[in-house]
Parts: sequence; C-alpha cells; structure tokens
Amino acid sequence: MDIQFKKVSYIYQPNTPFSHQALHEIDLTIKSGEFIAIVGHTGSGKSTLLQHLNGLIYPATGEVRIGEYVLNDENRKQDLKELRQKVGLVFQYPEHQLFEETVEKDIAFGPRNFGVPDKLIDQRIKQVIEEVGLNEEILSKSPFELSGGQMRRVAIAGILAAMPEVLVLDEPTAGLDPYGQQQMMALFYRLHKERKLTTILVTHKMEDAFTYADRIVVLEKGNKILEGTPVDIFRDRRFLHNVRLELPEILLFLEKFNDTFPFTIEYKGQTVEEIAVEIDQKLKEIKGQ
Amino acid sequence: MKSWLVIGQYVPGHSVLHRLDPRTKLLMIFTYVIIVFFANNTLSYGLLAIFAIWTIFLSKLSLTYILKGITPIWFFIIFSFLIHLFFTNDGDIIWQLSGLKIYSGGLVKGLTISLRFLLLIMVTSLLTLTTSPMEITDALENLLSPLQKWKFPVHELALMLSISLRFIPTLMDELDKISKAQASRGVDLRTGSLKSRMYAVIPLLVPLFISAFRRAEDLAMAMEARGYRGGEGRTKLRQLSYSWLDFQAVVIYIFIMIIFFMLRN
Amino acid sequence: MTIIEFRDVYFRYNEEQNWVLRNISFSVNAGDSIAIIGHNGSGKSTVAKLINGLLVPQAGDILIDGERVTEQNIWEVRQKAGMVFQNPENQFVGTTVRDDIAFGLENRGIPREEMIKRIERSLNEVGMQDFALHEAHYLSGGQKQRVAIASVMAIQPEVLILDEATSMLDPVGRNEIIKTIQHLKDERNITFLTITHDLSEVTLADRTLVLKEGKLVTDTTPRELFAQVNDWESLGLTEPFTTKIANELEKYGYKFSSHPLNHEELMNELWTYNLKK
Repeated sequence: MDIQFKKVSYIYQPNTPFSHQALHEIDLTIKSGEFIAIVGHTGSGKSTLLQHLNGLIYPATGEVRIGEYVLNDENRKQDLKELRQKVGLVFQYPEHQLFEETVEKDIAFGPRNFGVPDKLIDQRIKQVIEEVGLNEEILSKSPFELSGGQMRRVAIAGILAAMPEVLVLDEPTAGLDPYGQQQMMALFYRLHKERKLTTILVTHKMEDAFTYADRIVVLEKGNKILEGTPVDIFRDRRFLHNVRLELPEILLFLEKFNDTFPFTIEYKGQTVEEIAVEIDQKLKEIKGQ
Repeated sequence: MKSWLVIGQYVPGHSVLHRLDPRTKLLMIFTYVIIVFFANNTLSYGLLAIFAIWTIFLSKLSLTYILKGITPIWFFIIFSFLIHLFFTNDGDIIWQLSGLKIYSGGLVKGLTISLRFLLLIMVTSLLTLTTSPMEITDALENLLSPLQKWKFPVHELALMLSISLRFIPTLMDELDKISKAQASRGVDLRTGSLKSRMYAVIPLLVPLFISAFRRAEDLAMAMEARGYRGGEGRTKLRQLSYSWLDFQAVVIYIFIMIIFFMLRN
Repeated sequence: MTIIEFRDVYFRYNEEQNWVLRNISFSVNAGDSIAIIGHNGSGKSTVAKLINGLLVPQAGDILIDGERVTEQNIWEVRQKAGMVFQNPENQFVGTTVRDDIAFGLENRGIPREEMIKRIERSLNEVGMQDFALHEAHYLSGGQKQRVAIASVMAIQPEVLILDEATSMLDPVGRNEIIKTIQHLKDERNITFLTITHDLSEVTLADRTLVLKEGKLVTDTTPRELFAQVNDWESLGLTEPFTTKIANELEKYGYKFSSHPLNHEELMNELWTYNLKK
C-alpha cells in the first residue's frame, strides 16, 4: 500500500485565540514495504503527521492517499474501519491502552472490532504472542500484573493481531532501559522483514533512524526540512545542527575523527567493526609514509 | 476536545476585568446571578443586558467568540423558549394555526426566561474567561476562610480544587490519546446502537482511571517528598489584595444596582 | 564527611514478595557526585526513596548526616535530601511555575518575603526566570523537570537525588537537565545522587554504584566500570560506543593506557600511540 501526502497542512483549534498551525504543506511519498523514519523534536509536527495515517485527523488543506483511501477536507464522513485495520498504529506508551481482564482478551479486542471470526482470532493470538517474544502462559494473566516491558509487548501484539500492512510506531522505545530499547527495535525490524510491513518510525532518536530506516524525513516546526537516505542526511548534516538534532554517536565520532587526523573516512553506513578496520588501515598508511 | 467551547476556558489577558481582584469578580457575579431573577420589566432587563455587554466589551474578548462558544447552551435556551411559547395560556392570542395557539403571555415569558438564561451563562463564562482557575480557588479559599472556625476544611478543599484544575488539561490530553489509540484498534464511538456505544466507553474509561490513579499516587509521593503535611503552619505565597480599581468597580456596580431597583415596577 | 550511609539495608514491599534490596551497604561523602545504575527492577529507585524516608527498610540502618532516619526526624531528613522524580507531569503540584516552587516553601512555613527571594534565586539557577507565571500545561518536559529541580533547590538541601529524571525527556530536554545539573555542581556544594540509564550521565559522576537484582555488585569510578564490565546487557544497558570501538581497535594491536570515556580521550590515545611508534 503506497502512502502519499500532498501539500498537507493542519491547524489545531482553528478560529480561536489558541489556533496553532502544526503542519505546513507537507509533501511525502512512502512506498509499500519501505522502512521510513520521521525525525523531529517535540512540537515538530511528527505526531500530527502520523495521526493522518489512520484518519484520526483530516488535513485542513491538501490530501492524504493511503492505498484506496483519500483523506481530505471534503470527505470527512467515510467508513475508516478497513483503513484502520490495514494501518496499525503503535502510540507512545502503548501499554496505557490496555484495559481487558486478560492478555488474551486484550489482544483479541482489535481483530474482533474489525470483524475477524473467533476461530481465526485464536490462531492469530498464538502467532502474535510468539512474534513479540512472549510465552503463551501469559495469555490468561491480567495485563496489569506484568512488567512494563511485557505490557508494552502485549499492546504491540494487540495491534499486530489485526494483521496490518503498514505499521506506524510513535517513539516505541520511550521509557525502556537501553537494552530493552535495542531489543524492541530489533523486534520491529524483524517484523518489518518477516511480514514485509511498510514501517513508519516516528522518533527523536537519530540513532534508530540511521540504524534501521531506508529513508529519513526530518521535520521542524511543521515543515519538512530534509529527506533522504542516511548517507544523504549525513552529507547534509549542517541543516541538523541548526535544528539541534544530534547525529548518531558513530557519526559524531567520524566527524571528530576526520577533524583530528590528516585523512578522512567517508560514511557509507558502516558498522563499528568496519570503522575500526578503516581506522587501522589509514593509521598504518600514515605510519608507512 | 471541542476547541471552540468557551465554558470553563480561561483566556489570559490584561483587560480591566482581568486585573480585578478575583474576590470582587466572584462577589459581583454571585449577586448578579441573584439579581437577574428580580428583573421584571423591559427597562430592568435592558439594564442588565447592557451591563453584561459592557463587561464583555471591557474584557476585550469578542462577543461573537463568546456567543459561539456557548453553542451547546443555545440548544437549551431555544428549547426553553419554545416550551414557554407553546405551553403558556396567558394574554391575547397573537398567532393561530389549526389547534396551535400562541399567546402574547407565552411570547413574553419565553423571551424573558431565555434572556435570563443567556445573561447568566454569559456573565459566568466571563468570570472563567478572565479569571484563572487558580485565582478563583484563591478567592474561594479567602472568602470561605471564616468557616475554618467551625473546623470546615477550607485549605484542604482549596488544595484539592487547585490540583484537580491543574490536572484537567493533562487528563483531557490523556483521554484524547486513549480514544485515538482505541479508535485505531477499531472502536467506533460514532455509529452503532446506544448499547454498543455504551460498551465502547469501557476501553476509554478503564485506561483513563488507571492513569489517573497512577498520577495521583506519584503526586502524593512528590508532595510528601516536598514536605507537605496538611494546612497547619503553612505560609502562603499568593496573596490577594484589593486595589483602587476594585473600589471603583464596586462603586459603579452598586450605582447600577440602585438604578436597577428603581427601574423595577 | 559522610552524608549518606546505608548499613546492611534490606527492603521488600510485603512479606509475600521477594527482597527488592538485599544487604545494601555503602556510604557517600558530602559534595560527591554518585551515579546509580542497574536494570529495570534492580532496586535503584527504591534506594532513592529509602534515603528520604518515603520507604522504610525492614532491616538495617540508613543514616543521613550522621543521624538515623526515623519516623520522628523524617521531616528534617526530607529537608536535607530533596528528590526529583521521573515523570515531569506528575510532580508539578502548583498551577504555575512560581506556585510549584512555593509549594515546598509554604509547607515549611517560610515567610513570604524569604519565599520570593528563594524562588527568584532557584529559578535563575535553572534558567527558568522568564517562566515564573507560566502554567504547567504550557511547558515542555525538560522545562517541567527544571522547575522540579528548582523546587528542590529552593529548600536548600544538602543532597539532590535525581530518580531517572531524564528518562522521559527528548534529547533537547535531556541536554537541558544535564547542563542544569553541571551548572548546579559548580555553583553549590551539595551531594548529587543520579539514578540513570544514560551512560553519558554516568561519566559525569565521581563514583558509580551498580545494582543487580537487589544487590550492590559494583562500587567504583566510571572509568573503572567501563573497563570492567563485559556484560552490559545484564545491567539493562548497551555497550558504550567508545568502549566498543576501543575494544575493536585493541584487536588490531592498539593499546590504551586508561580506558577512554569519550571521543576526545579515545582520539588522544590514538594520536599518542600513533606518534610514539
């Protein structure tokens, strides 16, 4: 399912003293199967943008096309069930939306709303609970007696159980410890590959954007200021300094390294191991001279 | 959240009305609300209406913004107008269609009742629009403080009120977030039978309550850590003081009230 | 001088549950800056709550400024050890910034004139002087946490405890807090206790305590810690970048005289190593 934003603007509380424009004529195309990261600070408009993907809000001007669906100011009264089934939204702190007595019932909630037959739901529950790395024993427990990390996985399982084609993640690692964050991102990346999902990661962490995304979009004050592959973004990094977004540590290191030593190491998306090899080679070259 | 709704909303500003002591405003509006029921002819109603419009002018807020902002109330105003219009059998018949008769008394009663209602809503909205919730709380605590002699927990009540007011925007945001999260899980609050819509509220309320309890627990701990142990021995930063402006306002207000009682028959 | 001392402290929430903390003993000198790290559920927040009497240990003693924490002196203890919590929203008691800072002062019966002075001073210290009349709702997470720090500083404590105070903030907010704390360290001679998952915050401390499943497993300097630990994941952390790249380079025969804590140190070591040979 391709997604397209055409000159999308959005205004909160229009025609009041509190009116505030959150998006300014955003153009954006997301291809089916892509992993895209939308990066920006709090207030950059990234959360507003993601709510359009589920028809939770409609553009004030411009339009959003998601597969067959067209969202614009004129067609506000359409049935969005199918859209919401196909686009799974993982909100920030998704564990806060749990409410059922058991984990099983909570996971079944979404698919049931979308009219999935009970038999199929049971099958899916078994599948998704494994996919998120939890044990089946957990199904009969109350979601509220689990640890924070487990609760989040249950909430994610509930969204996966609707079998979405697009997965939208809003700061999915917030509040976890660093190792938990790494595991959570690895989980989403695995899902992205195995289920061939279109994945849209909304985050303020450049580190994750550079590690996982095919393409990065940078928002600032409701405007799209940069768009491209991680390598493109690194090349245009001077724009990032203006908006106080920090590069991933590996790139900060490379920048400093290139300033300190009389040679440069180009960024091509290397791992730490590969960088170490290059440093070693360059240093040896210099010593040879 | 309905963004155009002005009921309970506070719009910061520096108008005369904003600068008045909240106690002055509270007392004036309290008496106004009572006095509205004493109006009994065109002149006295007219004076009250002019007073209301004049204060809105003084608040530097737009009249249309306020009138639009009380939209849900319009429904009640029009409804009560129609009820009185059709069900009062007083005075002359001024209009007739088959069995339906409209009496002049009904028209007058309908008009006065809805005008009364409109004035009440306008003036009380004006209080909340120009006075921060905190000032209202302070004013209440101050005005009620004599009750402390009879062991009435004025401080606790005021603290409770100010904390609830402080957390209303937070919980509204929270509710908005939860309802969006559940909407994207397929909850539909707009269509379906009344019963199914009632059930659809559970996935919103359970998370909201859990969140509110968690916040309350955190807040209690933070308050304790910062040395809170009840009202005894506490000093206060916020102090209310009447100014020359309040004196002028009260004089004008009393003057208008005297005219009002002279205009009544 | 010792400001905080734990002597064989045990704690659990109730008898059915496992011990959250077992046999914890350590002491902190006045003016030191301590980081406490550990995985989620390791008991690190519990340590913080025990210090200012929000929780009471089942066994062992906790001494603040040489005095045992008891029911009787709990209010004096809280005056000495102030605490900033994780969630910026849930510790903002007042409606405006000024009211929030006043709350702690009002509780202690500070006269109004003194209150005004202290509010001004602590707002300046955290760089929030222009926001005195702002309401909580209109502040960013980082600004709210700075207000929370100012609220504690206004009480003039001897110890400032930050219980994962940056974990719910975005990078901008986190930097604001780290800068604020650095500024306070220069200005005031107080003891800092930071509970964190952020290794860059750890490198700023004089000493690190590592908790694992309720036990104190390491008590050392950040540099020693970075050199020692090889299983970061069991602490809920990931290997720091500098450590990772230093370890990789060591495979190719590079040596580091002391474990590098940041990019500059790593680069300097590479320079010297490169020039020497």
